[in-house]
Amino acid sequence: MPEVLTHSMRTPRQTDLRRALLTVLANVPSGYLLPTPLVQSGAARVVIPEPTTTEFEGELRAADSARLIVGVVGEDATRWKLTDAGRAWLAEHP
Amino acid sequence: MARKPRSDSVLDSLPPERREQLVRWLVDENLKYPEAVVRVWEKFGVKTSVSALQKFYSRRCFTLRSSQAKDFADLVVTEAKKSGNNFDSATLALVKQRAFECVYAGNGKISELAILAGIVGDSAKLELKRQELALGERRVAVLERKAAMADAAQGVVTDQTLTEEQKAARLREIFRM
Repeated sequence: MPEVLTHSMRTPRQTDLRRALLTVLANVPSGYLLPTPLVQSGAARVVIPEPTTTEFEGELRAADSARLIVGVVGEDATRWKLTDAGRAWLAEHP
Repeated sequence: MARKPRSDSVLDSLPPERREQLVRWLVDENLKYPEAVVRVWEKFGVKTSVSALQKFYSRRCFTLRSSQAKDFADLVVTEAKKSGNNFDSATLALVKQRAFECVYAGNGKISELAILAGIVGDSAKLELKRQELALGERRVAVLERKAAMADAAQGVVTDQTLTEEQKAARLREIFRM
């Protein structure tokens, strides 16, 4: 019987994408935030093939829901930073 | 028996000036990894791979971009405080964040920052100009390379002495396909 992916199961690519976007944010100095387009362009540098906008936005939402990142909604963009939970996730998934 | 070094550690052990050059290709030129593999071989005589470059980028380039952006944002805020105007902390925080983003993005919108701030001192203005010029120079270099490739391709296409297969091979060579 073919394996069926449920919502709680994540593909290796989703994990790669999550690692990439958290790595981008992990390198942002304390006191600064990174707007969504810069997170996306950074993640695109370390995930091959380059993630589509839909993939990226899906993972961004998932990371936000999991409280790994936190966003501040601005007039022009949402700006993100890594949470302690996000740092812990990165440490567990080097 | 000595183990063969990992190809990503080979990139880390490049001489500092070559490492810096590689970072510039990847960050400023936004060079694609397959092209970078070829260029690293051609310029440095070092064999590498896309995944090694990816890891190198993760380790070196994010940190460098962030620290350059932070240094500049700090400079702008220092200058703003020295300017004698009493900017409130919210304005300074906004300017600091925008300055950070401008340099991090490297997208040539630095002049926007000067307008936004309207507050920076001469040394920060000079730094803004310097960054803008450096970015412009790097873009011109990229455009010149692309123009040279286009000229070479034009020459191949109009060369009556070449067969279609030879033309295709030459074009693949020019564009490193």
